[in-house]
Amino acid sequence: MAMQKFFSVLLPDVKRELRRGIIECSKRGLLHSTKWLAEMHHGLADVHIDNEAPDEDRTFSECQLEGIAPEEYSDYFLAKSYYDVREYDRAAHAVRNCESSVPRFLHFYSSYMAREKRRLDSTTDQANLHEPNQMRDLADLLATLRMEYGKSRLDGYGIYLYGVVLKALNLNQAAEQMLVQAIRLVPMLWSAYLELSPLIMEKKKLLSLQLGGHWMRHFFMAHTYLELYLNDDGLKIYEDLQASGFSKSIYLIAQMALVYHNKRDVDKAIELYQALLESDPYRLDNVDTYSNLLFVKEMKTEMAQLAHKAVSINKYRPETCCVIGNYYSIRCDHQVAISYFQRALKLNPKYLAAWTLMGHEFMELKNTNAAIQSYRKAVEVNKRDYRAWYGLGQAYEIIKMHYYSLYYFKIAHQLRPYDSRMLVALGETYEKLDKCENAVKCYWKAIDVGDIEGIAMYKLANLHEKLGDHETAVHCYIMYCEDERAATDKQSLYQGFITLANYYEKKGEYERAAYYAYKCLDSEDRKMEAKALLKTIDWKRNAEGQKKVKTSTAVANADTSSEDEMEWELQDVRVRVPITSIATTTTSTTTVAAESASSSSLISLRPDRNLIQGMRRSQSSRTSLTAPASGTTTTPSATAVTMSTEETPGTSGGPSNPPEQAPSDDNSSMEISSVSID
Amino acid sequence: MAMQKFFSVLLPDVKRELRRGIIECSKRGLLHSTKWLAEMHHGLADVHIDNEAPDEDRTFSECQLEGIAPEEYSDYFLAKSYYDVREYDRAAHAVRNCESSVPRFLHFYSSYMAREKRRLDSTTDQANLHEPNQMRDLADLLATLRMEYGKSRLDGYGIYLYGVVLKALNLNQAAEQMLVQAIRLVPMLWSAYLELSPLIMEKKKLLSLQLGGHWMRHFFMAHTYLELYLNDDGLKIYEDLQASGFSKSIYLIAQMALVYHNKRDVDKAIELYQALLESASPYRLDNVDTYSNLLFVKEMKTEMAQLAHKAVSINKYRPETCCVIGNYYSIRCDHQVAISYFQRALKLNPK
Repeated sequence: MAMQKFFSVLLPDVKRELRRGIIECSKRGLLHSTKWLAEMHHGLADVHIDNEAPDEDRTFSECQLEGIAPEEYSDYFLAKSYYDVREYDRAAHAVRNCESSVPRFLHFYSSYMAREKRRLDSTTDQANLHEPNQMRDLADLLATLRMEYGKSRLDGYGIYLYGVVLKALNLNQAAEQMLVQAIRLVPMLWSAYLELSPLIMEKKKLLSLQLGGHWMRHFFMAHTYLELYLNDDGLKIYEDLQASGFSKSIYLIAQMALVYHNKRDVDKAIELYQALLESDPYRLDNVDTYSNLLFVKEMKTEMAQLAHKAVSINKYRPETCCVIGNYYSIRCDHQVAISYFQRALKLNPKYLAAWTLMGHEFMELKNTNAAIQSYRKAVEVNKRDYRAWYGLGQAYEIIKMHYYSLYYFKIAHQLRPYDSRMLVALGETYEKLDKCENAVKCYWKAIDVGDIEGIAMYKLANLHEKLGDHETAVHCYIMYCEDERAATDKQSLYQGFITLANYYEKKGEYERAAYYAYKCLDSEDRKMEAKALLKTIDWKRNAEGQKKVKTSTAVANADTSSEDEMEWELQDVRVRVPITSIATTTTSTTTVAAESASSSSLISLRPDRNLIQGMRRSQSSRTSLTAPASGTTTTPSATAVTMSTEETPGTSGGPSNPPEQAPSDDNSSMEISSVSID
Repeated sequence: MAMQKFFSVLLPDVKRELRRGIIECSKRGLLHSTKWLAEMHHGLADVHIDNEAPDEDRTFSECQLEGIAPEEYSDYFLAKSYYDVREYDRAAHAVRNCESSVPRFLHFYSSYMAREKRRLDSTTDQANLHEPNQMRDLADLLATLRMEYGKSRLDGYGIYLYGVVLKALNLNQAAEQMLVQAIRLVPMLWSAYLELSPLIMEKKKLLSLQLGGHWMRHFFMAHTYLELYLNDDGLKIYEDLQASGFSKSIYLIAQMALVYHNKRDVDKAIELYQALLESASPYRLDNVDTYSNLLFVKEMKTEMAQLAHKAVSINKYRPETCCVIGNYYSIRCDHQVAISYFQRALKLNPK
């Protein structure tokens, strides 16, 4: 295969290196690294290197025994056999006196695995990740490894383990150094890249790492870009890797699916996951992510099928428990869902997704405190999980601790600077804290980065209206209403329409007012209000028409020649003129009385309707806010709290209506008097 | 070392054979066989064969790749890596189209292990060993293996698995035949002997088996004598094996302890178990349940408490550990709690 500039290694050499890596990791008990390498190797099945049988034999033979001193064969084979049946303490003991590198690594790694197993077995429902005993347990191992490292007696694999233990004890800076060093020494050790990745908090840091020039770094870069939610950067690398010869890699397809999931291209992501399931039907890696996608799309049938399949493959795997949790969640059985997320966490306390999903379920059950605890665990596991930070923001919002909300939403925003949902959440919180200027900035910025939910302009309009800046509010409403398809929340859209209709009616621009009012006829909630407004508009138009006729017959004639509709109205007026003056006056009076009554009704009903609309708007808003990120809906408590907040502006808005209406009524009375006099 | 009439194989040859057996079983995912062979190999640590480095390399290289067709390397390595992290269904699927013997065995064995795992995961507190679904599950696999066997497409390892499945379905007569055949073909496969042993109900039957003349048969005979409670016969063989060069074998010491346990020589048995725990293998949990029974009989409460604590710290969810804890609570007359731990042991291993 021709050399690629991006990927400058011949694929046969890559394949040989993968094969060697498989043996090296396998003999050291690094099983998940072995699995990853074997998947990559399998993806190069079409790359032929196997005709070189004699060389091949030598490669394997050198590989298999390399690093094991002959006099230590007995101890090594014994230890490895114990390791393979998970008797870790026993394995460590069997090679405790060995000096050659492979057995010595197996001694340290088995010691580590024994401690991890004890920690996992002792996990309680509270899943305390940092119990003192376990910290002390690891501290002993740390001291040993540090001493070995000081004597330059650790090879690349040993330095990798040293880094893992440092990281487990939260000594992240030192861990980073050790892991980078391990990668430079053993570039085929995928586990080292995976352990290093969560320690990289920003792109600048990532680009500054001195990892050497080995081809494996491309996979690490792409993986870490995804972790940092720099999805386009990751996608670019994955596409280049596909073009370089890895198009059949199971891992690559799975990662591409994850990219589209992160980019919120749900259909594409689902398509890829379905393709994976068809070609690798017993695969459970990432099925939890897939189930989140099914949740967002509300694909209940597929969710049930996936849950059944996962259980039949391995019912005690954390990913399976998450799928089942999502299955019960989509059926609104939140309590059972929580029990499955708890089981997932019992099986793997560092299972980030389960902490976040459990937080969402507690929100559904209005158990805010438990939700907060879950989200805290999630950010403890991974400081970069914006969903958990966002969840914390929402939880504190529900219990009306808005300064806390502000803090957490800010962090979520820092992690996702180009995600409008974080900005809208910030804006809402600033509103509640009466920092309206900041809220305005947040909403405008949300619009600039691309308003995913199509709600930011509506928020701006609403805010300006509350601030009494009606001109700006109308301007925002117009922009919001211009693109009806972009607005995901129909209730908000109709709210915009009715607000514009009322505004133009007050200004006397009846055609525009009628235009927006007609649009509201499609809304069940707004229909009556719209009809009433249309009647008001019609009446006012008639009133003005009559006045003109009385003033000047010549002018009326001119109007007739230009407007068919106006001509129709004038004809009616002409018909009325021959009737006796008394009869005409009586009719007008009756009409005026009816209209006055309607106006009074409108005034008295308006506050209630605003409240009802506020509740619905909040519900819709919450749904659109949370569903894409988490796949769950917000809690009724959230709605209730928001409604109570809406009460204040609603109440203050009420009194302002009568004064605005009064002058108009007075004008009508005066006009009526004129008519009577005439 | 001089030739022995009882054990007529040179120990260096035994060691080489053990080493080859370790690789062959390990390749196929037969982990408990691998463990047993590795323990035996370790017991011959003083037997030197490692100065022949070049030959050694060749032996390993032939061993490692033997039975795997080059065009099936990718599928095999993928499947084995899945097997090692216990994704059995996935492993079976990865080698479903392979034809060479090692990958094909891994396909069948992974299929079997997947079913076993599902059965274990679905075990209820009643520990129903013969649920209809699981019987049907194994019946499918049986049909496949029978067909393969009919076409002479099963090697010794495959025939061993065929025997295991027959046995699981209570077709014991056929199982016996298959297991004996497997042993003749692959004499280093310890699992085959262990599966055959419970099917032997009397000494006469045992002596009539045509197992061939391989030295491994001695370990099988001794093991089965113990199972039949013919302890003196077993003891004799173990003493001869010790004299033949296996005196440092962990397995042999453990088996001797079991003999004395069976003969109700409690003090001797305890002495041997303590020797095992103290120096040879402090993290060993095999047979600790038997040891705890001995402590119970002698009412050694302090030692029982220490053993329980130690077992829990090594692996709290192993069946042997649960039995030790059960005995611990029992010796303190807390029988209800003891029952709950015995129930847990059965949940972890219904057989």
